[in-house]
This record gives sequence, structure tokens and C-alpha cells, in this order.
Amino acid sequence: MREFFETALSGQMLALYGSDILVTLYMTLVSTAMAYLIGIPLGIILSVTDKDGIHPLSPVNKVLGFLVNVLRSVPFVILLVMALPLTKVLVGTKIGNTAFLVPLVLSAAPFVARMVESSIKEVDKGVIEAAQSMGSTDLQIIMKVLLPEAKPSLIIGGAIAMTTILGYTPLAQLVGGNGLGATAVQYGVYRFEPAIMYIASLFLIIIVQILQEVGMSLSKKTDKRI
Amino acid sequence: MENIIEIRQLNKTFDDSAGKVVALDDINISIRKGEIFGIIGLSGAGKSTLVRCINLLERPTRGQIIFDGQDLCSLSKKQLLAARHSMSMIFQSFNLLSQRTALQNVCFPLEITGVPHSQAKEKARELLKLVGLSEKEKNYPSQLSGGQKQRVAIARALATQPKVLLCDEATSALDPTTTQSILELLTQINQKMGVTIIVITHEMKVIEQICHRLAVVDQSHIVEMGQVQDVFTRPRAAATKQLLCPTDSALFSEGGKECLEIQTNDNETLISDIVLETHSRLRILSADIDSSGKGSILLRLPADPTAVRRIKAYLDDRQISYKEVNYNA
Ligand SMILES: Nc1ncnc2c1ncn2[C@@H]1O[C@H](COP(=O)(O)OP(=O)(O)OP(=O)(O)O)[C@@H](O)[C@H]1O
Ligand SMILES: [Mg+2]
Repeated sequence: MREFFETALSGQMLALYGSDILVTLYMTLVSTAMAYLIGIPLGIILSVTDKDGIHPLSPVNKVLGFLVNVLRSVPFVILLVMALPLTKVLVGTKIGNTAFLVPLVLSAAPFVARMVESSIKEVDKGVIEAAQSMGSTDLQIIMKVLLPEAKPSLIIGGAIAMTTILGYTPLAQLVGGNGLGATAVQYGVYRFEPAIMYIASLFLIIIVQILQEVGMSLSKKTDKRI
Repeated sequence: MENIIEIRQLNKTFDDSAGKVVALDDINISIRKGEIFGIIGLSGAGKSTLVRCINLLERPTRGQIIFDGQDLCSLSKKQLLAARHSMSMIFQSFNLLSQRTALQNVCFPLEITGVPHSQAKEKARELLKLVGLSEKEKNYPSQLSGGQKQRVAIARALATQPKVLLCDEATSALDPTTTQSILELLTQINQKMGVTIIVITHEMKVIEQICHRLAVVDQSHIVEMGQVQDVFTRPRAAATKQLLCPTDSALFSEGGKECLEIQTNDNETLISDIVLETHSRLRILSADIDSSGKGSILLRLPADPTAVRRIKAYLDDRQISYKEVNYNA
């Protein structure tokens, strides 16, 4: 047993876990932020232009919905490969942690768009109608009604998105990136050091738990409905 | 008197999956400045559709909505939004922003019309005071009772100093006491601020209490319109009669019987007094009166429970003794 953990808990490995945690958080947080930068406007457009939305616009809704669905149905590993040329253009290289952000964002953005769309669609129709009866413009309804009313649900969506993105980070090792996931795969699969795999995974689980917990309590704290 | 709203030949047809649904057909109403106008009808009659057509939340299929001299259907989107600032609406489900406090809710219409923040807050405080909720300004809607929520909604509706207030079943979710206080508030707003109010309801007592005139909507049409007094005392349309007296059993389930036996002393004009004062039609079933005018009279009560209440109140006022009996002829 001691032997089993000896290398896994050596000073060198501890330093690796430390840097892996930072890299994992870097990849997750940055790609989540960028996915939201793209996903929020997309989600808003999807919900607003829906036939029951505040500004129905069927062609825009159909085309955008189709693109989002296509992007969502490509398996991540394949998207990773397909995105390589784009990655090269955007980041200047096809490998490394930063290069890995491109497929992460590309896969998360449409997912985020759908989550934002569904959060906005949950907003009480009556409240929207009240705002319309007061002469609000569509933009005012989006900024002052839809987004603030959907905030608690959007925060929960954010936590879910982060967890999903975190689940993709082990694949960073396919493009020479690292992080907890990559370490777990490297050592668990290729070098047969299961102890390291378990410890790296444990850290991943802890990070997921923290993200979920923070997301839930933040959502509860901002929600004034209860 | 000047008309603030004129609804002309309004028609609204919905394209349903099952085909076309005519929700409103050839509606013509003129609403006078400063009045409280009631629109009553049974469920599905088209009341909500009608009120939503007035501020164009629902675009009429045909016809005109003239508000303050301009045809709303012919306005550009921008002009329409501006017109809506002078036409507010309150709802059965209150529709407050759940993530804003009472004060912030009242500020909302001011924010969207570009009133500076501090000025909006000051105005909102004034309005919360008017509706009697000053001490609740920091409460979120979830921390308010139904009646309090509707008061906040009313304060919010008044923020832009509208000329017209549309109320779609504004008291239908409230208990009788709360309904009473909201109706009093609406009357007060009408009298003190001169706001024209349009009240949509399915409850006759709401109309009776605050409206000056009413229109009865039945199956997409207006079947009766006039002064509340006149329509109540001489209902012509079947729908009106049904609304006045939902079912005969409702009258009797109130503990009421179908007849009234009145003891008279010497009041010769008692029956005609009752008729004139309470605007009800009565039928004398039998009378047993001696030469001095003392005796009892058996009356058949009208079907309308509110008329029955008026008659009893009249008798109570004059301390004339009576008892309710069943008539077994
Ligand atoms: N968006 C819509 N699409 C199709 N039909 C509709 C729509 N809105 C209303 N209707 C129909 O129009 C008719 C009138 O509805 P409306 O909501 O105006 O009735 P109401 O008098 O307000 O009833 P209630 O007292 O139940 O609120 C109903 O037959 C309803 O089914
Ligand atoms: Mg209705």
C-alpha cells in the first residue's frame, strides 16, 4: 500500500498536481467565460426570435437553431481535430493548453446558447407582457426583464456548463496539453501508475463539487422568489 | 362628454390549429374621459382579448382603437410604445418583476422612459405611499401578500401618470376583504387623479361597486351596454341575467328563501317605496291587511341576489320586520 502511493505522493508529483490544478482551472474558467461571451447573445437571439418570443423572426431562429444543433452533435474528439486549422489561425499553434481552448469554446458555446435560451424561456410570460404594456422596447425587455429575471437559472446553467467543460479537459493531452485530466490519463493508461490517476481524479472530483456548490448557493442567494 | 377611447368595429380572429377562432366581433365602445367602465362576461367571452386589443398587446384583425385622438393601429412601433406610456395595465396575476423590490418595481416604467434614477426613486416612494405600502418598499414580491402585490402593481401602473388604467381581472385572485380595499383604492385613484379606468371582470359585485357604465360581452359580441343602474335593474340580454344571478340555487344557498313576508303597520306606500328605492320588480303573492293598514304581505323575491340584498337592506334600514319563507302554492 505504501509502495503504491510512494511515487504518487513524492514531492515532484505534488508539484505536478499543483500546476495541473492551475492549468485545469485556467482551461475551464477561460473557456467557460468565452463560451458565455458567444453563448449569451446566441441564446438571447434564439429565445427572442422564437415564435413565442418577444420578437418572432422565424428564418433567423431556424438557421441559428440548425447551426447550434449541428455543432452540438459533432462529438468533441472529432471537433477537436476539425478545429485544428482554425486553432492554428487563432492561436498560432495547434498544440498546448491555449490551443486546446479553441475546440473547448467551440463545443461549449452552442451548449451554453441552448442553456441560456431555456433559462430565458422560463421567464414568466405575464411579467414580459406587463413590461410590454408599459411601452418597453425589445432591448429594454431583454436587459431589464429577461436577463435579470432569469439570473438564478443562468447561474445554475453556468455551473453545469463549467462541469461539462471540465469533463472534456482530459482530452487536452491529445494536443499536447496538460492538466489534472491529462495527467490521470497519461499515468493511468500509458505508464500504468494507477495511484497517480486516482489522486489526479480525486482533485477533479473536488473541483467539480466546489463549482457545483458555489453555483447552487450563488443562485439561491440571488434568487428573490423564495 | 369627451371620449378618451373609441373602439370601432373591432374584430379579432385567432388562427388556431383547429381553424379560425373569432374572439371578438364588431365591438363598438366609447369610453368617456374620467369614467370607470366595466366589461363583464363569462369565461371565454373575449374580455381579455378585448382589453389586450385596447393597448395593442393583441393586434386587432379589423377595426380601430382611437386613443386620445389617434388610431393606435396606424402608429409606428415607436409611437405605439410612447402611447402605451399613457395607458397602463394591471393583471390578475400581478406580474411584478420577481427579482426587484417593491420600490424597484415601481421604478421600472420610469427607468424605461428615461427618468433619472434619483428622481424615479422619489416618485416611486410617493406612489408607494399613495397605495399605503411605504414601509414595504424593500420587500420582494415573494415577501408580499396578494393584495400588497396588487397595490405595488397599481403604484407601478400610475408611475407614468397614465390617462387610462386597464384592469384585467385585477381582483379575481384576491379574497373578498382585499378585493374591497383594492376597489376602494381604484375608486380613489379615479376620483382624485382623474384616471379613466377600464375594469374587466366576471363578477357583478365588482361592477356594481365601482363602475359607472358597463358593457356585457357574450360569445365575442357586446350584448348589452349602459349605465350600471339601468342594466342592473332592467337587464335585457340573457347573458346579463345569467351574470346577475349565476344560478337560481346560488340565491337559495345563501340561506335565502324565495319569498319575503313583510309585516306592515300603516305604511301605505311601502311596496311602491321598495320598488322605487331598490329598483327591483316585485310580485305580490298575497296580502292580509286590515282597514288600519296593519297586516302582512307575501312577496316573491327577484332572482337577482344583489336586488334581494338591496331589498333586505332597505327594510333593515327602516326597521320593518320581515321573514323569509318558502312559498308553497
Ligand atoms: N392566442 C390565442 N389563440 C387562439 N385562441 C385564443 C387566443 N387567445 C384567446 N383565444 C380564444 O378567444 C376566446 C376569448 O378568450 P379570452 O381570453 O378573451 O376570454 P375571457 O373572456 O378573458 O375569459 P376568462 O374570463 O376565462 O379570462 C376564447 O375562445 C379563447 O380560446
Ligand atoms: Mg381573461
